[in-house]
Amino acid sequence: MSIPKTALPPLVHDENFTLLELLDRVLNTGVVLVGDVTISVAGVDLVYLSLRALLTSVETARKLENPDFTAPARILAEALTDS
Amino acid sequence: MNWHLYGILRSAQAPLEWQAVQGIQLQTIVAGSLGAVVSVPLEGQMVQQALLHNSIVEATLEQIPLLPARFATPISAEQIQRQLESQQTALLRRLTTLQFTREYAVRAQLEPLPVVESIPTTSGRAYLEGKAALLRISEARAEQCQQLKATLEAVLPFRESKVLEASQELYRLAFLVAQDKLLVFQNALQSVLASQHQGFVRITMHGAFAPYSFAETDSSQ
Repeated sequence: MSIPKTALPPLVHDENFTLLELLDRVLNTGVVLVGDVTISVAGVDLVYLSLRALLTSVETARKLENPDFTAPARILAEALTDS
Repeated sequence: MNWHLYGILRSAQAPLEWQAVQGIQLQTIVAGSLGAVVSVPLEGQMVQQALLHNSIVEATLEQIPLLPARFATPISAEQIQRQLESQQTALLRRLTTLQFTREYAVRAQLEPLPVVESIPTTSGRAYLEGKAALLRISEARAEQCQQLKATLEAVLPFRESKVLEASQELYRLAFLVAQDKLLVFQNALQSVLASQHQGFVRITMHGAFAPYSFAETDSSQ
C-alpha cells in the first residue's frame, strides 16, 4: 500500500533522520588507513581482521556478503548489532 | 598498543598539547608532514562511542583542518605511521580540498513500490504487463532522482557532490560546501526543496556534518 502524500508533508528537517545520516557517515564513510587490526567488541574475543572488511556498518556488511567478506566479519557485525 | 583514530591533519598544524575533549585526551602521531589525531580506545556502547567520536572530530575541526576518520579504527602507531607515509600525497590532496568545508545531506524518500506479489499471474500476458508496469515505475523514479540532482546542482554553491544511495525507495545525496557558503547553500536548498516534491513522499535536508563522505582518498576507497 502506498503512503498518501498528504499524510506525510514534506519537511526540510527531521531530528531522527539527522541522527541516522550522522551515524551512517561516522560508520560508513571517512578516511580509512588500510591495514589489519585486532579488535575486541561487546565481549567477543579479540578478532584479527582486514580493516577494509571491518570498517563498515552492519547494513553495508550484510550487503557485502561475498567471498571477501569473511565469516569472522559477519560474527563481529552481529555482535555490534547486539551491543 | 592500538589507538582510536579521529582524523588526519598537517603535522605543522597539530597543537603541542591537546586539550581534553569530553574527558578524552588526544595525542598526535606524526609521520612527515602528516599527523594522526588519536586517543586510547573508547569504551561503552557502540552508538555512544560513535557519537563521541563525532563530537571529538567536530571539536577538532573547529580549530584545525582535519580529514575525519571512519569510526572504529583501532590501529597501532606503527601502522598509522606506515600508512601516513605511503598515502601522503593523496591525503594531503584531500586535506587541501576539504579544508574549511562542511557536508550537507539530502534524503529523498519515494513511495513504496507495489509489492511483487500483486503482479497478476492469471495469465502469462497479464504477468508480463504487470512486470512491464513495475519497470516503467522504476525507470520513472530513476528519472525523477536524476532531475532532483540536476536541479539542486544547478542552483547550489558546492564543491563536490556524491550519490550515497539510490535504491527503489530512497535517494541520498551529499554535498561538500565551503564554510563561508553554508548560509547561502542552506537557504538555496530550502527554497528548492520547497518546490521539488513531485513523485517523492518527502525530501529532507540534514547537516552540517564533518565532511566524512568526501574524506576517503582514491587509495582507501
